[in-house]
Amino acid sequence: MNRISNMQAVSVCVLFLIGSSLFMQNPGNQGADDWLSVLVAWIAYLPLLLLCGRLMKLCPAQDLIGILLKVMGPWLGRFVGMLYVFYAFLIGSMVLRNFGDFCQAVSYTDTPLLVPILMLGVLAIWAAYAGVEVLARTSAVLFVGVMLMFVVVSLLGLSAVKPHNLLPILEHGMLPVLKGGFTSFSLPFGETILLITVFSCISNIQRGSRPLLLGVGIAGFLSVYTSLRNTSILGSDIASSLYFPSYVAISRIHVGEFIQRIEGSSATVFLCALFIKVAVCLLLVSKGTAQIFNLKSYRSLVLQLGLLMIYLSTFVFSSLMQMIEAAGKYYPYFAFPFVAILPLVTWIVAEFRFGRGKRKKA
Amino acid sequence: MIILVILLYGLLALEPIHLYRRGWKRDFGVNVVLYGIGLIVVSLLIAGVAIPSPTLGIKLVVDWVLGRS
Repeated sequence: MNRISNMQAVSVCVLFLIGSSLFMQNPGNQGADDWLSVLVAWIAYLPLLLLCGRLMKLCPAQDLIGILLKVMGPWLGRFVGMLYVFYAFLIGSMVLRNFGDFCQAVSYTDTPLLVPILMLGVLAIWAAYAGVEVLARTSAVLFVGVMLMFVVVSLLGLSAVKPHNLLPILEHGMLPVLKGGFTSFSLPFGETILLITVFSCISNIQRGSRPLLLGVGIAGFLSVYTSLRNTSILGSDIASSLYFPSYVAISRIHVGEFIQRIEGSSATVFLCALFIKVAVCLLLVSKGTAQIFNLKSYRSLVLQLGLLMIYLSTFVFSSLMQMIEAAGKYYPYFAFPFVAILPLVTWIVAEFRFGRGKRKKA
Repeated sequence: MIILVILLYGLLALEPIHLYRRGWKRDFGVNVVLYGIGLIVVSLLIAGVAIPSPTLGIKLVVDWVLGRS
């Protein structure tokens, strides 16, 4: 049985959640109030986070598909499990596409899209094949580098910050902020549900919700801070018109004559986070498929499913513009049942079947 | 590109064979299905056939549910 420590789980959670949101434009961008939308989503997700923690306590040492099979029974559990496998598969391919588009937009303009996607995809296949322990240890190492880079860039960026760019606050009222919050709720905070697969391997499962809370807390803080920084450096008009506002905001940082063009090194943060996100999605897809079809090992599927994920990423969107449009207009509605409704239904059924009353009777 | 794909899928065929020899029939079956899907998709991509994206389906379903035109 694979076992990971609480700190490793926190690092996976943070890197998974900041994966695409750190560099990509927030799909529900609300101009100067963008940071408020992220904050609203972060706070709104807290009850569902506690729900995830409770689910992990009710079904200890079970991953997401295992919980569904245990709570909903073999047939309904398999059907809902398949939906979650498809959801994770789609997220994995979308994240791969984000990376491909990012590379093409900022540096490798003439390189075919498939090349950077293949590089990251093969690495994710390797990590998923190695298992959750290796993935968690890798993310613990990467997490230190990511946080170090984040702190350094934040300190250097203080000189470029113009606080007046954040004003006026709530110019168009609360409704646009809530709409933006709904988008940020589904993407990225709602994706935390997929992390149950990793969190089921924590050595002390009774503390399962604590690292989850800490991880989402850190990721939420980083997301809000990034949004605040981008808007205050670039201004709301420019920040909302760019596909990769963080990259441009960091490129504006100049300290004297010698510290400049640091956006390239900060792109490594994006790469590290995306790698962990794709690997976690692939791990869930492979493990989930193996559980649904009652296979002996998930490892035989990793390569085949990883390659399919890579292929899908090449045609999941036709362009970067379509990706931003889909992420803002359609994706939140598509993701909502997976991140809110199904976990809620699963929790209610789990409380009836394995809750306190049942335990006392037993 | 075509030669690379033939080489890749030639090597990938070893996995189902390995599973079959082990006697893991169910694993073998799922692996062969995924192998087949992968081979078809990569052939279509090389041939330049436009494969409809699943996001298009999502868009249609969300529009239908929300009553958007």
